[in-house]
Amino acid sequence: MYLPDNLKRDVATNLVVDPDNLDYQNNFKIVIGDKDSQNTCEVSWNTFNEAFSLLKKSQRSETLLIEAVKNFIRKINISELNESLNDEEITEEEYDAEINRNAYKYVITLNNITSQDDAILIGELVQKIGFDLRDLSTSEVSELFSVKENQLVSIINAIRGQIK
Amino acid sequence: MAKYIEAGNSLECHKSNVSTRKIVSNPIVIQIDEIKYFKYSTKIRCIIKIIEELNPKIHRISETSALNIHDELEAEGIDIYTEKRISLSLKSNFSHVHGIQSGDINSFTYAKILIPFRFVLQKSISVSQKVLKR
Repeated sequence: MYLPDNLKRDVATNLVVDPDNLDYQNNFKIVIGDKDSQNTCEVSWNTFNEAFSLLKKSQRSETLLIEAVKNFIRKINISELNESLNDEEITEEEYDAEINRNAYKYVITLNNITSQDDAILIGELVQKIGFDLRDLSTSEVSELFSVKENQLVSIINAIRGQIK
Repeated sequence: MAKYIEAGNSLECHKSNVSTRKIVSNPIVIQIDEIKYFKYSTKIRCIIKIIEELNPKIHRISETSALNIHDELEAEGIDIYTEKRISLSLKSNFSHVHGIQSGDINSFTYAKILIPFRFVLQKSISVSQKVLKR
């Protein structure tokens, strides 16, 4: 397992390790304590990897969901700006200038999908959100999570091809 | 010249003509590859036709987009991305019963069929069911 240098510590211990009974392939040991007392915890690599990937997945889900909320707010902001233009409170020049000046508040940026896992995760999140409120189109899903629609559709099709 | 009616078919052009029964007049702003587009959604029925090709004639958003002059999309619902805001004028006698909104879009246009006509959708569903049965 890779451990960053700033997390590495030398701990004095009188734990006796019997090399003959050590199962490096399937398990690893965590030692907690000082010179006088220590507790060891034996964890299998499988359990550790599962827990680690679950943590990574939940962090990525959080990032995607926060982006979805931000895009929802951007849609509210642009809707208010459109209303101001329709009611002639602002001119078209002021409308364009406001969008260019505060693009972060109004513009939904569609980015490349860097990992196939993201497309799977987006699919799972959309399923959890459900279709009771609205039948979401692929275009709406791409706007929600700031990803390019063409890439999302082609990755999902590729995954469906693999499943067959 | 070709007419495209399937879900996902798209076109890209420098200028286009659009006719639709209903357009959501408040666009959202989408940025793709550093360029901002106003995105409009049309409903009930929409026809969009290329009246001026891109120069150079190279895809900007989707590699499968139609690019030739007079190519058109016709469907129940089409998403339209333009570089400038558009306003369409109201006309009558489009389908001999209903009024329509129509006009030219004098800037880069990307349009994509979101909802095809029901008969196209049913045809593609029956084809996919046949494939699944095999």
